[in-house]
Amino acid sequence: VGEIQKLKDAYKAMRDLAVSDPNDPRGFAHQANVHCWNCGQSDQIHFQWAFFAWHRAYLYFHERILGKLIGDEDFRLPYWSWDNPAHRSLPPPYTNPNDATNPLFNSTRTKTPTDQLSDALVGEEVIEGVLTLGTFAEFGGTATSPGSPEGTPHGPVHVWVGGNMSTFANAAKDPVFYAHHANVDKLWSDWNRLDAAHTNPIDAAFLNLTFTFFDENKVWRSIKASQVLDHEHRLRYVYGPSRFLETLLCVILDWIVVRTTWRSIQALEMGRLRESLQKTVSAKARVRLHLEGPGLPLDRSEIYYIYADAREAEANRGPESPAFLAAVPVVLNDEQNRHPVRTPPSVIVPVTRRVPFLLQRTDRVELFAVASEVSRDARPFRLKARDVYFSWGREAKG
Amino acid sequence: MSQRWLCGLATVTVVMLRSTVPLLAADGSTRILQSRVPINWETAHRVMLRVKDISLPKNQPVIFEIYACQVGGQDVRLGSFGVLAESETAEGTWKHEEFLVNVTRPFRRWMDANRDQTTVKVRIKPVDGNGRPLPDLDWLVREVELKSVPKR
Repeated sequence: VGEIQKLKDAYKAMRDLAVSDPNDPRGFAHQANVHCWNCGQSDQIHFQWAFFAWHRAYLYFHERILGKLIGDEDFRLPYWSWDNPAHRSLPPPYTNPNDATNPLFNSTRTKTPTDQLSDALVGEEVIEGVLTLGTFAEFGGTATSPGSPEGTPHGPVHVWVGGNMSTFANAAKDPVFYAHHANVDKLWSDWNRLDAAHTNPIDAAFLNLTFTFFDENKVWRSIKASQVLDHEHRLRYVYGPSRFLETLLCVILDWIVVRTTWRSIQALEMGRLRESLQKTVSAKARVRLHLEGPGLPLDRSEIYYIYADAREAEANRGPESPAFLAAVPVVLNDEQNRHPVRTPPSVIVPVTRRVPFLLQRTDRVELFAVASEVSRDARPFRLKARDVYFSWGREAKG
Repeated sequence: MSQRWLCGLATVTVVMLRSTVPLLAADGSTRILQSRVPINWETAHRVMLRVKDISLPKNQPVIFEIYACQVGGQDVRLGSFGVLAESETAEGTWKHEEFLVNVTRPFRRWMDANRDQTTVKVRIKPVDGNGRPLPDLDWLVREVELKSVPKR
């Protein structure tokens, strides 16, 4: 069965379920209402920094439900790549046939299958404008204001499609909503990939944003923003390439690896490392920490904070601590653990602002991990990993 | 359409003219506000336009087209932002603190033709999903601010 047929089969099953069992939370009407309930009816996740994370989580559970309904756990949602000039019309599977026999059809749209989005709404200048934003506050918003992409291109595409798509209350009643939001999600993914400085917030207030959904087994689940940040390893999907990533790299960095003593002593001997890190400070370079195969418990979904000091780990103040290095999420895939979670093969985190703390240390530095949820009897433990090293960015020549 | 893949496992501020600013005679819902040209815009990494304190009806989806006015020439489109309606039947207005638009490239184009200018008149025109003006839209915007963000 082709991918398009699978997609149609999945939405047909979801629509049928809404009729055969209106109380099933996996039915199409209920799925659509999830968005409504979070758009001001009972809660509001738009116009603020929850926008990207909430929608990613929403698509994740929606995708799993669709897959379950057609017995295909490898089912993945399509994304409507309206940023591609060849894809400016509604995606053909959603309009062919353009009637109610098509589970992807929605009768309220105001556009014909051949109408096209304009460059002014989703063209190169618009996409470049959002991918080159320098901070998450600009890209993803703050606790009280939206990021730029939510206003454009996200909003105009909704309004352009028209009908259900143009209102928060009904937008998710149109199946193209999910394809549109998958592309909005891809923008976030591309923005993260474009530049090492394009990092997500590390504030606990953001990381601990908690959203709730029914999963594919009708189980009421909660998921935190921190658990959706690494979609590749945690949510099991990746996106195709972005032509913008190739063209927008204003500064190309060569990443120079700084090896450590970790492999031999499972700790950082500060002797030579100190000299190397000192150079990165002098050069005002960006520094990243690489954790290869960090040994973290995989029996529950959790965010682990990594510290470079035992006492600071005990205090567990999170990013406010000078010894804080990283937040590493572990997300269980489902309750039955049918897709066992694996240790992240490699975690790379920006630590430029953390280097001064390391430079104060003259002795051996061990790393400690502790669950971020202090209510969960969080006790720090020494972090084991295959390797731990640093890299710093130097502007590429030529 | 493509498919997600399964993976192997300046700062300058200016108080703008309020909604009582001069309106375009042809379209009652267009607003024109003013911002200073941000300092160091030529060397900035990006130029951001902040559109502040917007209120609009909850039942009207809108795309706001934004232009830099040009005397004796065609206005330069700076960008746009869109706001979904809450629902078709929602009553009242809602307020939005701010929308942010990266206007770097079009703003530079405008400056190329307006080198001596220290202020920019910014025209904001609400349209529907088909690009048709919404002349009767009752909406407010308090301020626009252009801000340059330096290179790292």
